[in-house]
Amino acid sequence: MTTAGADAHSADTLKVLEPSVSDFVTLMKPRVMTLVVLTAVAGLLLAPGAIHPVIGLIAIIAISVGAGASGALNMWYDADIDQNMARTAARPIPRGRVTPDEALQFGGVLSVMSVLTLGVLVDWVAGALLAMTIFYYLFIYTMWLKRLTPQNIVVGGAAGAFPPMIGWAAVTGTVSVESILLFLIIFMWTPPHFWSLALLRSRDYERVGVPMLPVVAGPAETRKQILLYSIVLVPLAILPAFIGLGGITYGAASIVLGAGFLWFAFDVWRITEGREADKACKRLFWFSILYLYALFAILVVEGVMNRLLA
Amino acid sequence: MNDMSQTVTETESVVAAAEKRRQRIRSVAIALGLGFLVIMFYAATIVHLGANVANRAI
Repeated sequence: MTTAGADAHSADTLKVLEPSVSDFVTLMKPRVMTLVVLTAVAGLLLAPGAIHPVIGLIAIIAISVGAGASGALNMWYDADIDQNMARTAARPIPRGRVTPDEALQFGGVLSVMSVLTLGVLVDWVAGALLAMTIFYYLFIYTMWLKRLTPQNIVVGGAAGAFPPMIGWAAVTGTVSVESILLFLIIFMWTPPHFWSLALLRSRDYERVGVPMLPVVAGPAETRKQILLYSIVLVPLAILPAFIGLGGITYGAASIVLGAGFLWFAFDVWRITEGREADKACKRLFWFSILYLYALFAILVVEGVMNRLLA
Repeated sequence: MNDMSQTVTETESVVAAAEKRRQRIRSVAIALGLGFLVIMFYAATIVHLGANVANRAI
């Protein structure tokens, strides 16, 4: 090999390995962050009491950065299994764009700063809840339960369900039944959402040794659990319309979308073989995303309207 | 042998340059993050103090 050739090769390799801003954005799981922002805004707008728009904006930024930081810490810890799964192999650490140390520092610094910012500038109960969310997602879910139990998604789902509760606490400084209901909606939504995907990716999870429900209990049990969780979720998601959190639009949408959710969940349970079974899982997976986004978007719009008309 | 040591040296310099670039990117990101934090704390302080900013004794 010539010297020039070696030099060019090294330069090429290093160019590929150099991180960009988008790699660090990817570390924060931006798609998850959008849901965090939406649900936190819903909690903030639906809470009784007033919050200055600037303080509200700071609260939302801190909550979303905290969520992004826990995503980066999750990618740092899970880098070993991410590289062996089709869904996650293109993440920045497996691709060599960001080193594990960089991801750890990035996630760690942002975690501390987001919690302190929320606590000092907005409310310490909200700050404590954000700290608990990050701790729960990293230590309880990522490090402990994800690789230990098929109930990993059920328990881990709590971490993704905290943001509306944090938004609520940012206004009121407390945790209330209404904010717990918003928490429960996301908590009960997570298992059918992730298990419909896990049914499609069970070989990946099996290969890397993550005991997802389809791997441990089999597809039939997973399909049954999806249906059971959906049956609990749909009435829970209608409840905000009856306790004054949601208006008429929310009530109507939660009933119609809930019927759709149950229909797709029933399809997943009913169709167990062949490509149609995979299609049923895909339909539920995508509809579940639409379902949660739509419900919380309606809550946000109704919250804005109520505050403007008050 | 000379060719080989020259290759190693050049590779090392490429690695050092890449590391320097990484550090520069990191420094810029930290500076931007801190700047944003300062703006947030300033804005929140003004909001918390409100009209009291103007009502202070001179």
